[in-house]
Amino acid sequence: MSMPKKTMLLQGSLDLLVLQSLKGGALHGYAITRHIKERSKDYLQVEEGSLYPALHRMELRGWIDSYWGTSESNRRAKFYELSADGRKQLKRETDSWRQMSQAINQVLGFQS
Amino acid sequence: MNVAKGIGWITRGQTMATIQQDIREEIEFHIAAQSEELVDKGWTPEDASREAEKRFGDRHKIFDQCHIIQTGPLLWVTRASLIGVALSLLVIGGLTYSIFQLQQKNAVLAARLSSAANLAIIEPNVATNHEPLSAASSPAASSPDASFPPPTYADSNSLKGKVIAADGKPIAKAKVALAHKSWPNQKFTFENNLTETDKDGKFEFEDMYSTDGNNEFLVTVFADGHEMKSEYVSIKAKKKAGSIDFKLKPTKAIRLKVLGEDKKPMADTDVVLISRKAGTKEHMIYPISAEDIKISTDKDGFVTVSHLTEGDDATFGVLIFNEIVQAELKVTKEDEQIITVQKKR
Repeated sequence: MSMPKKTMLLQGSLDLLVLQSLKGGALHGYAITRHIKERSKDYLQVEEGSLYPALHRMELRGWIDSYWGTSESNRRAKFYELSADGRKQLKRETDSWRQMSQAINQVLGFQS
Repeated sequence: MNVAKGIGWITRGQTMATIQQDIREEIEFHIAAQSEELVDKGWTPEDASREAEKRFGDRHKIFDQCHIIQTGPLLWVTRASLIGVALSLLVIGGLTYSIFQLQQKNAVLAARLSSAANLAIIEPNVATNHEPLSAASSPAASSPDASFPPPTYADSNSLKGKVIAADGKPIAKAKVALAHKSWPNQKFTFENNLTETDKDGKFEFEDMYSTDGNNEFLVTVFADGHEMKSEYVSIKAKKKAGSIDFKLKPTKAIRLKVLGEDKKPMADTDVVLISRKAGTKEHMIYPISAEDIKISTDKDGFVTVSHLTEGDDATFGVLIFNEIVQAELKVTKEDEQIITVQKKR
């Protein structure tokens, strides 16, 4: 079987995607990668080399909290959940992304 | 890097060892989950495991990045401290050697003088200014430090459970290991405990936790002639844990030969069963919690293990020079099996 194609994420978009993934409830790191992959219909695949440092960094900034729980396979897994600050940050990042994508679309002539 | 945030792990009461353990475990979990998904898609377990490891990338690099984020600049302070300790040991070693040389010279000189002029032996004049600390000279030792009052908790609860065999009979004298993580009053604590079941198969860890904060328990049971099992229990603040019960299937004993990297038997070496995976279920104990569960190989490198069943994927920790090195085993029906230690490079 061949390696799945990985599509690079735009710089700065990883935090937004992770925070958005956690909006629906606590997930462990692997489930976050699955969520992003599935929601993007396999177009985006998060590099583990970026994901875990990002999760630890966001936890330190207070955007997410973590706790150890049990996975579907009875294995210990570290779960992450959005904190109150994280919800605010998600809103900021979503607004910022919307503004930027509108601006790019306007330059490309996709929007009037 | 914000220093205040970088030292958060200290204010949370975490140790460097628990941080490292958590990061390692998180990485292991990701690779195992990926591997399981590939197996479900039809890959062989061996290929799936290799592929999952490959897809994850450089785990050591990712570990280092997470570690630096968690510990911040103090990681470098710690490394600098280690270098400092090493240099100090070199200096102390040099001084000790010099004193030893001086003593030797004095002894030779004394012997010569004694035999020549019948004089008393000259003792080397090694003065010491280091008086032992007495309780009187150390007020902190005799009275509690008022600046660090003992923490107060709303309540204190025991963690209880029962261990029975497949036929429903209680198992007495089963070893029950408990790793407990808690976050009371915004502080993180981690502790290990060990107890045994009584004649009714019951165990109890008294005064183990408060409902002030979140609590997490990893309870692992070892009963001779029965499979090793663990349960992970996570309880939010204000909640109490229910009874943690185990039903263990019988097993047969396996004579396990432990070989080193050079393929030679490892005699008198401490070995501990860290995990067993039966199907998709994994039962484990933290290596740092396993101090009292370890067993030693005999002079021919053999240990007897009676906590595994045929088909299990077992992981052992082998203690080599204070480092726990892992060795894996796919359990077969053979009475005698071999594990080979392989250091990860």
